[in-house]
Amino acid sequence: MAEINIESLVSLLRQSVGIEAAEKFINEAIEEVRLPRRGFYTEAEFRNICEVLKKKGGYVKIAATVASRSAYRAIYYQEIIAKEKKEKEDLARWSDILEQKVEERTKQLKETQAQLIQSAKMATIGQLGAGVAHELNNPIGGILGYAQFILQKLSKPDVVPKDFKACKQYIQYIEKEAKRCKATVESLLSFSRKPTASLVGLDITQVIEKTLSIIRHQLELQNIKLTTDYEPELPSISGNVNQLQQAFTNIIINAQHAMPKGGELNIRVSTKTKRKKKNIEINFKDTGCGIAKEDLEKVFEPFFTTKQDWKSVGIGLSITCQIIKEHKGTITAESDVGKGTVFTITLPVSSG
Amino acid sequence: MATKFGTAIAKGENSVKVGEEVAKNAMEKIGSSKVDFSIVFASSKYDYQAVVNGVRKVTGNASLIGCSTAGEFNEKKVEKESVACGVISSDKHKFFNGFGTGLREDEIVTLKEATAGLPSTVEGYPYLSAIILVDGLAGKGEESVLAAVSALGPNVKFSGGAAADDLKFKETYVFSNEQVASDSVGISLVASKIPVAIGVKHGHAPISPPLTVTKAEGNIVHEIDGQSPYEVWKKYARENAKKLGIDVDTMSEAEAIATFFTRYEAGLLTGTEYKIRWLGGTTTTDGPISFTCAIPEGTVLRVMESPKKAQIASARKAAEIAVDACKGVKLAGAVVFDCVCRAVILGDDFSKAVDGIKDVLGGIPLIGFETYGEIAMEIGQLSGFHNTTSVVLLFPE
Repeated sequence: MAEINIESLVSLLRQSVGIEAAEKFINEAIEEVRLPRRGFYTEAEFRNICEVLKKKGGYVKIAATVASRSAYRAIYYQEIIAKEKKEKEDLARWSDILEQKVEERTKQLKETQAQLIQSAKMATIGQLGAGVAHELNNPIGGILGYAQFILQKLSKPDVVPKDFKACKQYIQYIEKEAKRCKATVESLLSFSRKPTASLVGLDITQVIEKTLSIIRHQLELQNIKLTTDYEPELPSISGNVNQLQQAFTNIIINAQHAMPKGGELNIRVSTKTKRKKKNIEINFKDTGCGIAKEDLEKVFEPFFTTKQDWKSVGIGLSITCQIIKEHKGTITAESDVGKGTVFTITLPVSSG
Repeated sequence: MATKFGTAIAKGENSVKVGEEVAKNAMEKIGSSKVDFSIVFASSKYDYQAVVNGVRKVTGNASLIGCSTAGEFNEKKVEKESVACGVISSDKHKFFNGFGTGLREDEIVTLKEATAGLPSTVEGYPYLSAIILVDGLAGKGEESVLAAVSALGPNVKFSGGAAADDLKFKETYVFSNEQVASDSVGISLVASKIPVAIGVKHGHAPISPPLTVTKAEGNIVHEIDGQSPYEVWKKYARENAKKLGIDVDTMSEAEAIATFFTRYEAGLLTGTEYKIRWLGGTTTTDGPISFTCAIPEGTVLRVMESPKKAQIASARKAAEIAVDACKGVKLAGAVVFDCVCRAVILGDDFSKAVDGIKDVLGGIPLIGFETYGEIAMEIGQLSGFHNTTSVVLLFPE
């Protein structure tokens, strides 16, 4: 016995009363003729369902009348199958378009985020300015002094071989100091550069040292004693030097701001094993003012700051958090108000 | 001979003369004295019977279908208070007219009467379609199309519109050959060697959650989700309307209320699309709301917004859909059924919507009118009445 797909009737009726009402009307009709909800019904059952629908009157009655005629059904069902196929194709196409749009939007967001990170980094460089100037000023002062000595020696009318020997020594000093300047400028330039997306195997202590090369003097100027404890023979991690430098700089600057009248900052790097996974753990421990308990959980939120001056807009630690997450690591903070704060970063050891 | 299609628009005080003039001008465009079919759209300013007589006198009593309107246009201009006429001379299409009255009382009987003399097949012309024009105030738009398909069989596709009366909402008329009457349906069965094509599109988007009609009678809705329909509509349209300078809480003028319900129509989710239902003629805030076709209890509606940009774009899209359906066949002309609501929403920008259609159709002749509802139903569909939609019917050469 031929069976009729009830979904075809739903499809026909939904064109005139909408999808929700079509489902409702047909379900009610099926219930009224005391049939279970099935996909297919016999000709007689289908006719009974249509008879109930006709009671609705108006165009539902006409639609049910037309749909119950076999001469129409053959055509309608073919068309419905074709229409549903087209709808499915449309949906698939829209899904593709949506996917593409999401991809484009994600790309735009990533670009905006990268710009934000870069802007924050440039702002940090501004804050580092005084320290860097000092870092450059000392060797430049030395260079100037040695240059003047050389000029003095060679300006004498009776230059003797001893003077040339001394000048050679001065020139070696000049070269050394100039190299120091060059290294500082290179560090700064490298820090300000936009990071590349690639991760490479690296020694975390070298990244910390590179960071300190542009910030150490700033800490000294503020009477902050910096100490480092590196566990020997640390395994390498997979990371982006530039990004990690930015993350560490943000934490160190935060510590500096927490110790306006001086203090101590200790950076300790060690290995830790958790659930059979080896990580590098970096502790930044300062003796600053500390962070109140209610603020502690918010410090990694964007635009959260406890500083009331120009020094911060509150994105440094959120960027740090994001960078660490991108490195599949974690960052936590513990603090005692009036005693100091410890930021702990863990980064997974390279599998290779 | 292929298919020739000519159009003209005229205005004047003497309805017979306007009818004669517009038909004559349209015929001059096709350069032929033989007319197989004429389409006439006339503003409520005119004596319809006189216009029809004038046209038929010039066209040699060729088959005629037409109706009263709320605006008329052709490929040259968009007009009000005018008469637009299109004439077709063709050996690729044959036209058969029918007419039925008493639509308000019984659409089945009316459509049986209208289709009684129409052929079910025409040898050599395998593709059947029908232009159907209905009284726009009878509230039987959807019923008429379904009754027509019930009478003509499942292999006919439909296009057409609901007659209008320049937004007076008093009486609308349909013309078929020499007949002119209200409360009626005119139908022209078009048998073609090359199929005509239809495109339909609206530019609305939902701004409310699904809302269920809980009390209704025919085309009158008394309650939505157990509340006053006006209050429900206000709730969801309030913020959106504010941006358009409409304060839904202080509206009292009938015209302002009618405009509000024109901008915020109802949408029925039919799958991946919405079908639009106009709350045409609703002019009070304290009673039920009325639609231009029946809304059964249990129907789920959404309040729809109608951004201007989307309205203009949808006219173009309707034309594109019709052109795609023609599959590259050379076109002779177009008949456009465009809702008067779109003209209300778009104001002076309505001509931009017509320009969009013209642009897509590449300058072929077209004739159209502003309707109280549009009809477009492809073979295999079982609902053909629309509102605030553009329907484009294309005749291949």
